[in-house]
Amino acid sequence: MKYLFVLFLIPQLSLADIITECGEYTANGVVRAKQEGIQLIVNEKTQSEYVVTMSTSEQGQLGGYIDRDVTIELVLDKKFNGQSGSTSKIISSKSRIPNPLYPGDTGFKLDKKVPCKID
Amino acid sequence: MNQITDLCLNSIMIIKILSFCTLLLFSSTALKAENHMLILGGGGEPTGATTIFDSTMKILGKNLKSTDWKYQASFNGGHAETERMLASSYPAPEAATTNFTVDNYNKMIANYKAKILMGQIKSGDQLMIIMNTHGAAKNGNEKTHLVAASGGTGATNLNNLSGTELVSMDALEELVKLSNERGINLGLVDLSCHSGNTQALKANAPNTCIITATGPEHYGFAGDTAFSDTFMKNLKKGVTLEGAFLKARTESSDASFPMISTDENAQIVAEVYSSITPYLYFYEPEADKLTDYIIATSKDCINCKRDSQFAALISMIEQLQQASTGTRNGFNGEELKKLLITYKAQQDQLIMAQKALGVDVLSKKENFSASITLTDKVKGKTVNKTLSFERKNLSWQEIIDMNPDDTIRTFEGYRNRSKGATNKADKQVVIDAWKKIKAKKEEILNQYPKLKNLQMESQNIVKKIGANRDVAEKIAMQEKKLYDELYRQKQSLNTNDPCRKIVF
Repeated sequence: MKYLFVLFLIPQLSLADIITECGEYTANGVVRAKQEGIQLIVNEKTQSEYVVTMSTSEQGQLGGYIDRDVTIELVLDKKFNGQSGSTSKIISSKSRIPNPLYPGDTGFKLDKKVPCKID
Repeated sequence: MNQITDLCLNSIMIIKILSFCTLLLFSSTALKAENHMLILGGGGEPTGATTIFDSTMKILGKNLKSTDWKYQASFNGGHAETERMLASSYPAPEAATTNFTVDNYNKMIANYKAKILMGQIKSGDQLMIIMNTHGAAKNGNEKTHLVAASGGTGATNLNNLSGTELVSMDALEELVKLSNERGINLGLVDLSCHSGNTQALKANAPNTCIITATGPEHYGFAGDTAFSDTFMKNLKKGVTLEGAFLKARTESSDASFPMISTDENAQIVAEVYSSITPYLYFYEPEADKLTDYIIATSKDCINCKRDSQFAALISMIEQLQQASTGTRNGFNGEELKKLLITYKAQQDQLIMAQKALGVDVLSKKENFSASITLTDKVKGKTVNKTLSFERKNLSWQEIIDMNPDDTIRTFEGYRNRSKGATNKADKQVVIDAWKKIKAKKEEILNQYPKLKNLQMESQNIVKKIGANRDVAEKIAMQEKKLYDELYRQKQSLNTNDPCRKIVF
């Protein structure tokens, strides 16, 4: 008797294409150590690539995930400038197993709206 | 005057006759419920002439030949023998069979929605959707689960699944909703792995009967003794979906947990499914749910949920046996009890071996912090400024998985490029905290060296049990007797259940 092979999948977010609202987000992306600091890159190497920068203290939170795929809960309380923005707080972080079968498994999901801060 | 009266009478007669004819015509169409079927699947298979779904499909085709069901199929894609079988074993479809690509799946759903909206499938009709393909475990945001379509970039490799296209059973939700709104009796049969997740479509669908080849946490199987085949063998003209399901379930011997969307099944699932789940797992190099279960359980409390669930299961079997003593069917749960006790003892040994690796310490959490006090002169006065950094709630598992050396090296680079004492200290404080994390990692691995290659070590432990699908199958066969007895005890006379109304 043969068995039906299983396709193991990792959690998949319903993804927002554009960051239009300030809020607490869950982001699936990758952590990169760039010249200017550690950044969270979402939808890397696509036309929908987003770059999230942060303070040194928040960079230290993501320090253990350099070049790793991650799921990050973070606060985006300033409007994005095009496709780059900054986070004021990393709420939680964990490694993520990317799903090569599902190209759309990176992106942002709005968990809770928060008021935008203005500089 | 008489002529006028005659004319009037004649007109009345004509109207009456026409009305009668119209009514007759309307009644005959309204009363003649039709049967429609949509057959989908055959995806995710490697290159070759056949698919593992062929035997099930062949039986379905043979059964269809003796009925008046109108059907369309989007199945397979690129397996010559399978295509020949579909052509020879099936009656003529309403439209040419297409390959089960992502595109064709969506087109088929749209097509059947249109048929309903245009009245081609109407209230009182029966619609059956059969999905026979590979299925994935539930995904976080899916209501149901993903299943394999054909197509993609090339041959599907069943080990790495490259090239496999996926579609979601969630896409059927609107079709289910529409069928229910229009009074169509819908049967949805998902024969894939983890198909129990498709039972989620039953919510708010009173006219729908959902049958799945297995539970949400288990594989489905193909072959003579698997539920998919026994179900098709029992899906004969005049048989209800429930009738075919119950007979097929008792006749199958695969390590699956077939489900049906009746109240009786819901009660049994609530009572039994979680507790029997681990004992339907088995180890095989290509089909291993046991290792992940053993690792996860050994990280948790071994003597808590697992043991109490097991005790409740054994107690329930004993009570059921006692209650049925002397009855005509007389359920005997001794064999099931014996098998479960033996397999649990084996699993307990694996869990203990896992714990010896140190896995139970992985959930421990630690906080790491560092601070630097800078001395500065402001307006001639000496001022102390403290910079601090804290990394909270880092589990031992995360500490082991991370590479603190990379982090330290990266921040040393940032520090060296920074200008000004404050900026340099800002980076240094992070480095100091990560040096503590590094020291903790070394301490953990010195204490529990096997945690370094945990997955491999864990697999090696489970591998020692050997390929043991036969053990899970023996338990599954006994579980089917248990389910049958429970179903019989709970069975109501609710004839409104669509699983009792839909007839093949």
